[in-house]
Amino acid sequence: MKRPYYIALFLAIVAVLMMTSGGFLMFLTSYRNDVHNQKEIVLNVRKEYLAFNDQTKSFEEQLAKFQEVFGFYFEDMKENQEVTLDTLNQIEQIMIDMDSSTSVLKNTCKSSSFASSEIMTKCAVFQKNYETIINTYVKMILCYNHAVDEYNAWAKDEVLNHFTSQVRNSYLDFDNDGIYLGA
Amino acid sequence: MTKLDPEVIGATREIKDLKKEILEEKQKKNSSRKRISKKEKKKVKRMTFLFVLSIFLLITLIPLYMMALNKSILVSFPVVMTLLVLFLFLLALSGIYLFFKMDFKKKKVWTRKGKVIAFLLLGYFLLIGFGTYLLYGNHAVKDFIINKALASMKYQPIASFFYDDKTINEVASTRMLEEGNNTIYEDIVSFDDLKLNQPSYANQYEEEILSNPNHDPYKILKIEGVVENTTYHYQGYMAVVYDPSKVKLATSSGMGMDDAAYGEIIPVMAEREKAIIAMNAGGFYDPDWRSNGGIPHGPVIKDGVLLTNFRKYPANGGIIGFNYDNQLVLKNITGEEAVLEGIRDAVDWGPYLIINGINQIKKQTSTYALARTAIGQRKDGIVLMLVIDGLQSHSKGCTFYEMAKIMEQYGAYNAANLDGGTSASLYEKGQFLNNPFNGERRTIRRLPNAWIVVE
Repeated sequence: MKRPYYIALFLAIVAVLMMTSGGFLMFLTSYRNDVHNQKEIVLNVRKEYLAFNDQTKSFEEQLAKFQEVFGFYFEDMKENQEVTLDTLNQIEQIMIDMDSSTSVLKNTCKSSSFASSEIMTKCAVFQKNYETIINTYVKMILCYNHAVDEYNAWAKDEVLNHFTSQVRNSYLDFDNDGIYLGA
Repeated sequence: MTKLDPEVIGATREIKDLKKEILEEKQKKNSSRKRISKKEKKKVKRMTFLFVLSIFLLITLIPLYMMALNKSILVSFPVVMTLLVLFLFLLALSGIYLFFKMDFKKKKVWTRKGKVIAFLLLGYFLLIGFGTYLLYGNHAVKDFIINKALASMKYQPIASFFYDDKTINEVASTRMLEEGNNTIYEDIVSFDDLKLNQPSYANQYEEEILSNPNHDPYKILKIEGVVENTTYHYQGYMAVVYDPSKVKLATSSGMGMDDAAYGEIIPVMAEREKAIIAMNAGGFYDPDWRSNGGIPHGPVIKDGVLLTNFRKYPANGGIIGFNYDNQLVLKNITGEEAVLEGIRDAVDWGPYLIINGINQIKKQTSTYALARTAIGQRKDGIVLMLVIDGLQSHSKGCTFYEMAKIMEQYGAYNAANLDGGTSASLYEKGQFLNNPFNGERRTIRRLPNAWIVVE
């Protein structure tokens, strides 16, 4: 009677050990895959973040140019109309490029569970800048169109056209402040 | 053989029966004692198991208690405390029972089995205690677990199993600083101070004229520039008067056409007429450059009355006056004709700078710079009164071309030059804005008339 009892006990211990080590190995494998996936996302985010930063700089440059050419007076508006529209078109192109080239950033930053320190900071900066840029862009268009209305009322016989933006659906209200001046 | 007494025999039987009964009773008592002992042994066994189990559970509770203290998402503090009280109660209950039931006089209280269990419990306690110490008493292990959890996506909650958000954030922040990610915040852009222009005026001059947020009756603009084709700098002032009906002509009380006539200095005329602004108007007869400004050239009309009309001069000028619609009229007509045409106030001088929006001085024909005075009116009725200093270090003076250009820039629809030189004066509320100068020194000249602005 004693011998089968020991065999059973031994087998039970071996089974428990195997199950424990198997579970641990599964956990390790899963963890390593997970970390690998995260690294890939981090690489993509890094890449997109760099591109986004460049686009932000371009936006700043074009904004400065817009402020310069837009002018303070109706006479300047008429004189600089061509350059102003060209600048607005370039800014719009930046916005379109920015929308398509930041898909990973947007998706990653929307997920609140992502807690890599690097991603967290990059997301925080991206979210802040993206909202600022799009709000500034919309403000710029509204401002320009309002000025065109004023100009047309002043000039009477010579009419300038509004600028109609194609950027309509790329907005994410990251900070949930509900502020978006666009359509 | 003796025959036994039947009574004795009976007694003996009774004794035997009694003995039997006693024996049976004893046997009964013995068997009941044996049964009781088995029951108690079972109970003691159960209590011992309960006692060991309580200790095991209490040891197990140690990490759970620490987890609850660290606000783990797995364990809640009230539950742990309830379990703690329950296990302590079970421990106390079983312990007290065993204390009273155990026979400590017996040599073998600690059986071999008991020692093994005690050894296992001690080992379990040390294992759990060490594990708990590693989790909560050792920073390196804590940081390792949190960092490893944060480095993954799916396994991040593991950090929350053991630690509160504050601890996790602290470790994450330290990691962020170590990785140098804090510098990323320098990338943040802000356009809070962005001011996008909203043009409301045609140009800078329009803005200077039309921006009047307080609805003042007039404003004073400083005018500066350089005479074209020269290095002569000029400086002066322009009074912008929003209501043309407030612009009137003041005349000297001694103005006339004979030797007895005399002019007055502008402060005197301004004081008498209660004017807030006064500016010299037409020229006067001054054959020796020393006259007292009493005899004005050409017709002078005040309140629709032709007051004087002496030797029209210059030839390229004419009537410069306001009609009863408060429009500036520039017309080369006689004084009588002017009165008939409904001129309210007028002098006669020139040249005309702008007539009906057309600049009359299109080219710089002479660079003879002097102190100048001009009056003009925009289409919206605003009257422009301009004085430029001359022959001084701060202002060399300007030409008719510059005067016309300035008037045109500020939107004058009609404008005419008035008497200049030493006469050029712009006076506002008790003081001269410009510096009237005769070529040698500051001179306040007597004049026959002046354009004034009344309140």
